Amino acid sequence: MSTSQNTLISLEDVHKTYRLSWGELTVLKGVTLRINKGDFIAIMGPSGSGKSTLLNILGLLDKPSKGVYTLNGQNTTEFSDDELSRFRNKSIGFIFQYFNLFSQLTAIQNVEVPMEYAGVSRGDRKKRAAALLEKVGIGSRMDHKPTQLSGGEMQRVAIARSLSNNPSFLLADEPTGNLDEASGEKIVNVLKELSREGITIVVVTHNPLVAQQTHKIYRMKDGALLNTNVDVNGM
Amino acid sequence: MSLFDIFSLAFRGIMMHKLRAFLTVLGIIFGIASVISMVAVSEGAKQEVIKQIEQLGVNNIFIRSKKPAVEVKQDSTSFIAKYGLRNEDVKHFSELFGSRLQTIALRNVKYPVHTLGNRVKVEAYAVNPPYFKLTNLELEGGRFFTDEDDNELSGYCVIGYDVAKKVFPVRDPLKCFVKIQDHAFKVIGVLKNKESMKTSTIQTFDVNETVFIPYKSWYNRMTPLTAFHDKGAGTYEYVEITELILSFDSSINILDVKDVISNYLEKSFPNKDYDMTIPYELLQQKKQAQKIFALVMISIASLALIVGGIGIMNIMLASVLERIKEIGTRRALGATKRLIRMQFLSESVCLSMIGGIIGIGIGVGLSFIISTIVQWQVIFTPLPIFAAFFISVIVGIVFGTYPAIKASNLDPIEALRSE
Ligand SMILES: Nc1ncnc2c1ncn2[C@@H]1O[C@H](COP(=O)(O)OP(=O)(O)OP(=O)(O)O)[C@@H](O)[C@H]1O
Ligand SMILES: [Mg+2]
Repeated sequence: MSTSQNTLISLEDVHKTYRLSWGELTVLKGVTLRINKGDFIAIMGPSGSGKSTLLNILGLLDKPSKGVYTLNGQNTTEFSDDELSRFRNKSIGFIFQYFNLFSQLTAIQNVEVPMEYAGVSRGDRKKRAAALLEKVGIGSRMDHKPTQLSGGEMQRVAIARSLSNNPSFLLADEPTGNLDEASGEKIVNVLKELSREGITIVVVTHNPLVAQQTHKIYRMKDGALLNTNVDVNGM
Repeated sequence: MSLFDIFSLAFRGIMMHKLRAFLTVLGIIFGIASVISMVAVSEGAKQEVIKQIEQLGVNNIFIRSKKPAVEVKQDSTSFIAKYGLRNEDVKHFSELFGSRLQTIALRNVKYPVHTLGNRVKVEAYAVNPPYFKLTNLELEGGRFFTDEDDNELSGYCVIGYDVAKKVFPVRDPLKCFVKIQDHAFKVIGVLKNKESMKTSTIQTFDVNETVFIPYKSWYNRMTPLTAFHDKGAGTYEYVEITELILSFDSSINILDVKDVISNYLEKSFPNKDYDMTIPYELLQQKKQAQKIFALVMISIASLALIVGGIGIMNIMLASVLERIKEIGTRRALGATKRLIRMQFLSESVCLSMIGGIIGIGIGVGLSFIISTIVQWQVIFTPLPIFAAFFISVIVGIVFGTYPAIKASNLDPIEALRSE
């Protein structure tokens, strides 16, 4: 497969096999996927089909047992643990179902964390974190601890945090899974807005209403990415 | 990530569980506090003892006459208890060591001292004139008696500072006499006040409270025979010298001559009616004892610190377990293994450092409390305080390393998946 200028992510025949006491369990059975810069895609599928596993591999948290993952033209299989950490820090933004905010830190401090790891100076960190919180619409809650925020607000802080180092793409695993409809809708709107600004986004979701907001929907079944790409907007 | 960021992160981590952190560092606090206070107090005690020993003079040997426990030598006809050092012993030592030795004899006169017809509660000692020079005593007024005075058997005396204050509060002491038995001694010198000056191994001897008379005058006028009248019955003692100071010049190593002297004494005094004190040896023993004491203290302190360190390790392991999800999230956000290690290591170092600082504070406070109770001065040297701080940091590093490595080696995905 040739990689065009526009390709951000390309997975080729990616397998993931877990070795368990009773034998082997293959969770991903040859996934091939290309994601272009600026794509906004959804991955759906039944529980246990391997969506999170795929997302972890895309997020460089996990390595394929077999197959090649090329990111920005670079083969990631050879990356050292430190290089993987650096990529996660600078190029990838994570949004989790349970927000995963640090409870001892305020909203703004949470947003600063990835910038601390990137070595951004204190002053710049504060400025950018404040701007990002403003952007996701909770500029007035900057000094609140997570326990003082609603679920939707927490997820917006998490989105601000995922954006802090200006990543190439965002990975969101069921970002609305733990929210009521109204809050979920707001989150989707934020993601849509970010997509419009050109950032690449991959969302795993069970909610068809969320999936429909994206440009493309992939379906996962039994460790395989079905080739029934639904092009939502007819692109 | 800057060191400041890492430590402020660690501090926030500790502040999440203030009480738990405090309980955890108690071991370190007690360990450090006990080291600091023990060192300060024992250092004070050591300096006190060393000062006293050094005042006696490390080039001197003291031989004191001692009344034998059983008075085997008591003269059956005259009831005279005869014991202790004699002038012939002094002569023997003088011939043996020549000009490298100066001998000074002291004799407790033991008779009451009178002035202007009243008995005064001070003691009289007969001393050889070089005594004043050897002990660096200084004059408030008048002069010391000299060898010439002594040879002429002059009836002079030099009195201590307190004697002058007590006995002659209004008169000029230098125009007065003191009387011992029937013998009058003209006061020719008054000593300066000497704060707790130790010039003799005789426990009750205090130069400020003493009347000094020339040895030969005493020997010839009063003789070494002392009569005590005790409820009508008379007892007699024949003692020539109460204490002999052998003062060697610096060319002589005390340890080389001590055997010659003790051999002679053992042969000459089968009744063992003497005590030999060698300040130099005492000093060595004291220093040795101090070393052993220090070693024991260090062992106890190490135990306390190890226990404290284990406490820290325990709490850090618990903290790692509690924060697995946080670790996973941090890894996802781009923390390298090294940064996770640093985070937990700096947290344990922070803990033990806080313990160390509180411990130093409590130790210093405790030292002052102890010092007012035992009435001796405490001495703080910077070394133990810096060492205590340094050691507490080391304890944090040593016992924090394993939990930190455990945290950094967690698999990010499993960590993220945990609840
Ligand atoms: N470390 C592991 N060891 C063994 N099996 C694993 C491991 N991680 C995941 N699995 C298995 O892999 C399969 C896919 O899991 P995954 O989390 O990717 O599913 P999912 O599609 O995200 O499901 P859900 O929608 O419920 O989140 C599951 O059957 C799971 O039990
Ligand atoms: Mg999942």
